[in-house]
Amino acid sequence: MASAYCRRTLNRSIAPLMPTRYQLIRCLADGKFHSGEQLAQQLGLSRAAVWKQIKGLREQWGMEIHAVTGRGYRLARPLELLQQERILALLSPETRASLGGLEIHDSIGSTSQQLMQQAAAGAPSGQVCLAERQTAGRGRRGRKWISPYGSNIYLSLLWQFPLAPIELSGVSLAAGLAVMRALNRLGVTEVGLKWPNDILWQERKLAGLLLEMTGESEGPSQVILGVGLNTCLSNRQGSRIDQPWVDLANVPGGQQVGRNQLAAELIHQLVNALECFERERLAPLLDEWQQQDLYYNKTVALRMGNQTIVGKHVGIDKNGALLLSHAGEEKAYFAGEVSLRPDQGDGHANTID
Amino acid sequence: MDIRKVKKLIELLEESDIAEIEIHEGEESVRISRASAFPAQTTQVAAAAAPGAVAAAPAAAAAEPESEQQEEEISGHQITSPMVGTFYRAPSPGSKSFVEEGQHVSQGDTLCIIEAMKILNQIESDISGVVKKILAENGQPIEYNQPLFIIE
Repeated sequence: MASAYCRRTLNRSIAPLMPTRYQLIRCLADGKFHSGEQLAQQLGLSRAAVWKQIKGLREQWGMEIHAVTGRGYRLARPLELLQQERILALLSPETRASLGGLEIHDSIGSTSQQLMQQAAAGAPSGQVCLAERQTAGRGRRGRKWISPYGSNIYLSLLWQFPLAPIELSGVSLAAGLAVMRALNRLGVTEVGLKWPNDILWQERKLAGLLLEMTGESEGPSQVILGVGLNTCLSNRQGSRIDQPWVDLANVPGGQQVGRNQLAAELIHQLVNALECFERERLAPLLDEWQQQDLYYNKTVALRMGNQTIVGKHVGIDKNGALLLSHAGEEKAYFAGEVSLRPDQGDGHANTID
Repeated sequence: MDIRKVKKLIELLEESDIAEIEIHEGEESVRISRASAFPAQTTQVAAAAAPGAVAAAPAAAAAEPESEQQEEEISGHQITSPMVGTFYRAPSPGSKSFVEEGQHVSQGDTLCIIEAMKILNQIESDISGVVKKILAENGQPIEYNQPLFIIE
């Protein structure tokens, strides 16, 4: 083992640019067999060190890697890693012109956190950050967004609006619709929206968005929009998610979607939707939103803090608020979490929370 | 709602570690809180007041006394909410509040988060000073322009 360690440290001094683990993943990404011997040579490691790396990928990162005597190692599924040039080449000139910059990281705390720091240092509107893995992926209120390597899309976009925060409430819904449009364009059509912006397939979450805003009460405002979209998770990786989930590999039409293509389409649709929102707000998007709304006309429970309101979901207003009909009255709600309730008519469901 | 059911619920609450229980049944709702959670009151049985602009269930109502004592004017610089949403004093449940009453804050320090529709808005102090009063409860629904903090 001592010699393996020596060789590894030696190798580091020669090629310190990319950690061995990421080099190994790139070797294996094609999904074909690679012998330990060959990998050791490529990476400048001992075979024992290669094995140790493989073990780390399996045990720490939950990656499925087959090891077959006489043939070597192979990823259970090929991995399409994100490439800046490919993504940029897939964007239209108009979208490219709206981008501030595009960064791709192998591993980062959170793509939104990264943009927040860059924004504080003066990053321009349209800056995009992508990562293969997040070590501190976030959801609402301290929840984690499980972010294993190469298995999903973690994308954040910085946008500066000349608008006041109060005018921006609908941007959350516009962004969700943009993700829907991207999926639809790539042939994934059986998914839908849950207010305010979850993307679901058969009640299981495929993608989620979280927006972080700062700004003066009179404007301008800065929004950092984060999208997490599951593309292909191993069971082990998925077991850490604390709600019903699905990945693109298990959604009709989703198997064929490449990650670079998906990232490019997401960027294109998000930029498009934000530009449209900046000009015209949510109004032009409301009809399309309703068509994609999985819970429209259904009885839902809206949970806000320690309160739950049950009512019929009768639409979305021009500010993006959820319209619930409860006890013969229609009210707009700006906050809360929606869940589907067995349909028992208007406001006659029981809840115990 | 059947009074026996309410009694049963009170017993249930007393046997458990739960601080508060709220039941909705059609148009009626009942919320039962442990006395210890609200020292000024004994066990409270009241119609749940719906948040903000939302109408309360038209059941037998007794307005919650605790939410009505915010009328007095306090001098100092007011920080108001730039949007409708939910007020959070800490970045996540269980973590430390951004600020406490009596604490000194500098201009640009985060005071709270207002969340609406998966948009988290970090509210920063636009002046430096001492947090004299925090005017909203954690998790409370907030209206546009509602005063949140008094800084002096």
